[in-house]
Amino acid sequence: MRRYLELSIRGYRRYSSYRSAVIAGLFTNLVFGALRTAIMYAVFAHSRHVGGYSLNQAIMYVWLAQGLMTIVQMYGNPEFAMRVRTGAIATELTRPIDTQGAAYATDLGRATYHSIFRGVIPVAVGVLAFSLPLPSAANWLEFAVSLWLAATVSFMLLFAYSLSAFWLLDYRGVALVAVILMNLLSGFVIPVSFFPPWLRTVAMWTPFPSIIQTPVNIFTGDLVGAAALRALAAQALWALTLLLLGRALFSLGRRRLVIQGG
Amino acid sequence: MSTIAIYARLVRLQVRSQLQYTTNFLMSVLATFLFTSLDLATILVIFSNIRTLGGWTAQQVLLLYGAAASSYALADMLLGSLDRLPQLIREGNFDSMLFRPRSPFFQLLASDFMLSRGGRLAQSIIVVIVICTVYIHIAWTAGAILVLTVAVISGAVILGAVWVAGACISFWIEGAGEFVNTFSSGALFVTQYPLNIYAQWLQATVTFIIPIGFVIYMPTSYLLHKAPIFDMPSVLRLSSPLVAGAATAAAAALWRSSIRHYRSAGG
Repeated sequence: MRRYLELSIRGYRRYSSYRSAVIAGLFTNLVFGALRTAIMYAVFAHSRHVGGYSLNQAIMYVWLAQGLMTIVQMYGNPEFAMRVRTGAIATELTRPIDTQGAAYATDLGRATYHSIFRGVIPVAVGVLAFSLPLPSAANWLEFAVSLWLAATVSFMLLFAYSLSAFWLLDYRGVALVAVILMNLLSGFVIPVSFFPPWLRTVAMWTPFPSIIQTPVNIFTGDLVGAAALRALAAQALWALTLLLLGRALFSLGRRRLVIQGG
Repeated sequence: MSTIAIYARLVRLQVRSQLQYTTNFLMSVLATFLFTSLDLATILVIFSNIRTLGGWTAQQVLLLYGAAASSYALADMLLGSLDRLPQLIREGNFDSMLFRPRSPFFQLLASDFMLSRGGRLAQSIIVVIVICTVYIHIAWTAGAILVLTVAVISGAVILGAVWVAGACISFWIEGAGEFVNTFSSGALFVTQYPLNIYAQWLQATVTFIIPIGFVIYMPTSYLLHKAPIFDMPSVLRLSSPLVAGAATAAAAALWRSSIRHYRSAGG
């Protein structure tokens, strides 16, 4: 356990050394938060409720999504796939530590760093600029769990599709399709509850809503009590399913792996 | 050999090398195609909930989206390699461009031509044609088609000028390159929706200061007989080519003075 904790701390520290990237990223979050808020105002111009949301909830949604996007790596991360592609993965196989577990621990360190430095500020700006109501104390704990599960689902998914690099010469096509599906079906570009019924059904059968829609709905108080617990259970189930899928693919992939020099 | 001929030759070489990896190339085309469709899906989802956005119907917003995306894609095909400028400066490779007997701007443009960016252009042009012929019920006279075509081309020039101006930041402030991306993607986002839904200050900024309001919104709102913003005379909305010319001159002046200011990363 101690080793994994150390890896998490390293993951955290590594990202803390790129300060200018954080500032540029926050700037992007603020620009797009403001633009998407303007769209929401126009969407709510003629009706008080759209997709079951009030205007305030929709604006909160926009800023939370901006805060969450880096934590859950909305645009993917080529790092692990590159390790498979270049063969650097071989070094990892020699280490007395579980590869998936080690990568997950490191990623949780990164997610913690991004929660503090990329997550809080966009949400705080949204709340202050548009005087949005904050959730009650009871929701905070559920939100914290949901956030952790969202980061976990997103990591397990990323890990699983990165492993396609074992089989494909160029895994980028797979990664791009995954990123596009994630942008749409997670509810990042537009809330899942705005979807037409058929698309909502499609989304609900994928792990993507667990990554944005669920934590947002728990934060805004849209999901409380038993409904919130059910949503958390769904997130946990997806995390576990993808974890097992990742392990299965990894053990298949390592058998295919041929590193130069034998 | 003329500059144009060199450009054509460099582009041809890059296209040929990119076509060597056929699967890879097709995948990238498909990827850019799908990525733009994400914005399309967003608009469709929005309109599954409401009838009009800022007084514009779904079909009208889709025309705006398709035309704006075409301008963006056209600019991206020609100027996409501007993205590499911050990295070239940081690694000191921009210096070598200053030694060669052609303008550094030209060398930058010719250095990274990606044919796969055509996927985006193809997608947006298809959207425009489908929307115009099936859904937009105005008389598509030669005049109207000309207005739209000129709008897309001048829109590309305006966006290009804004990108060049944005890229100049990296000559002045080290590490500012990351902000440049926000300008180009933010500009695309703004131009895809009716300008009148945004706050007054933003409307004023993109009309009078960074003129991306003229990219597609102004000519399209003229074509669709929308009320002009800021009570400007209606035909003034057709001045995109003039705005494009002015923006290009301003961007060129800024580029030249930035190059003169440039000091190599090595000191």
